[in-house]
Order: sequence, then structure tokens, then C-alpha cells
Amino acid sequence: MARFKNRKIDFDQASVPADVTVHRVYWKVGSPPDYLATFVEVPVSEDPVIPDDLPGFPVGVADVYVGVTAINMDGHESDMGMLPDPFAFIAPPVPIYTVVDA
Amino acid sequence: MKWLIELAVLLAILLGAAHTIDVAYGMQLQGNEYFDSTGKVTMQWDSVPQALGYNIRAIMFDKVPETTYAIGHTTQTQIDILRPRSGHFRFEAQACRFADCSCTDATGATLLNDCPVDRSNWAQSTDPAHASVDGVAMGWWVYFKTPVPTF
Repeated sequence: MARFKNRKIDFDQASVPADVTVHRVYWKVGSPPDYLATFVEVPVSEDPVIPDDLPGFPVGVADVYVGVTAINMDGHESDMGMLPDPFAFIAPPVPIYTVVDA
Repeated sequence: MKWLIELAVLLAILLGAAHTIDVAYGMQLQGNEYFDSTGKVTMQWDSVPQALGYNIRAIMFDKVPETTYAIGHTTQTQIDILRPRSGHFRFEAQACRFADCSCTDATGATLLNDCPVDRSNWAQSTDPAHASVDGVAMGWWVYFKTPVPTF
């Protein structure tokens, strides 16, 4: 089974307001996500690793767009910030080889 | 003696719209809602005769019990208020006889606790009897938006 190099969302922890408790990471294949897209919540103190920390995050497909929001203790959600480029966790094809006697 | 305080508002860099909102404890508010994503609003009020200072506080009314943030006291008639947290806030002002908003008892000794003789009632920004928007009697409140995460 193919293995993928992880990517980490590196939040600027110093800029997180005290009332924000979680970040919500949304994703969608083919176009930028909206608030109806699939998401996973991660504690605000953590920088989530993609795809390992996001159960269900699609691998093996191209153009996975990711957006993040902040949610405060009262449930208010921020506007969505978009990661600049789509993800593509696609492994290269299996090498084609033949065994040659040396 | 009770002072009257009239709240007027000049909110910088905000978008406002006539709006009705359901408050957590069942009542409805009608007035202007301002969405703020800058984290700061400027509140202004009319001066009150005989008042040397003003107490200002911000109250988040999204849920019961409401959360009160004492902003402080000032001798000016406007103040910048930084976002205490995300949510819907009304603002209240109180006129004080003394600049530091302290109060005294019958002997003239300064009291640290609330002292209605030397302070007016609180005027609420959501109360059209005291609040106005662009000169028109109208309640107003602010929704402090949660900042977008930076990464």
C-alpha cells in the first residue's frame, strides 16, 4: 500500500484569541469548501497533520481544497481561511521492472 | 439626583443593517446590528451636565447569564473598545459625579462599591430611549466576529 508524505497546517498560535477553543478543518474535492463540506475539529493548541489527523481525508485523488475556521467558546465560527493550494496525496505508480540475472 | 445620559454612536469601519435578533432569554431586539471583524469599535456619547466621568461596560447577551465586561471609566465622551470575545454585545454608559467614578457616603467618605447617589442609571445601546444611530433614536449592538485563523 502506498504511503504519503504528511503535511502540517502550521497555525500562528500567537495570534489565536483567548476565547477560541477549536479550529475546524474543512475539505472538498474539486473546489473550495463551504460550511457544508466535510470537516474535522482539532484542539486550538494543535497543528493538525494531513492526512493522518483528519479521519476521512481523501487520499489518492487530486485537487483537495482545504479551508479552516476558528470557533470560540460560545460556538461562534469565523469566516473561512483557505489554504492557498489544493492537496494531492497521490503516490507515484509502482515501478515497472524486470529481474535480470547479474 | 439622577442624571440622564444619551448614547449616540459613531462606529468606525463597520457595516450596519436594520435587524431583529432573538435574544437568548426570549426577547427580541430591534435596531442596527454592526458586524465587526477589526476587533475594535469606537463608542461615543453625549456629555451630561454635572458629570465629571463616565463608566463604560460591554455586555455579551448571547446566552444566559449575560457576561459583563467592565471596560473602565473615562472623562472623555468616547472610547475605543477592543473585542472582549466573539459574540453579540451591547454597550452601556453611566454618568458619574466624580471623574474617577468613585462615590461617597453621607459623610463624604469614598466608597468602593456601587453608589447610585453619585452615578446615573446605566444607559443601554439597545434601548431606543437612550441610543441613536445617525441621529435617529434606535437601538444598536455589535457582533464581534471570530477572527479567521492565520497559518
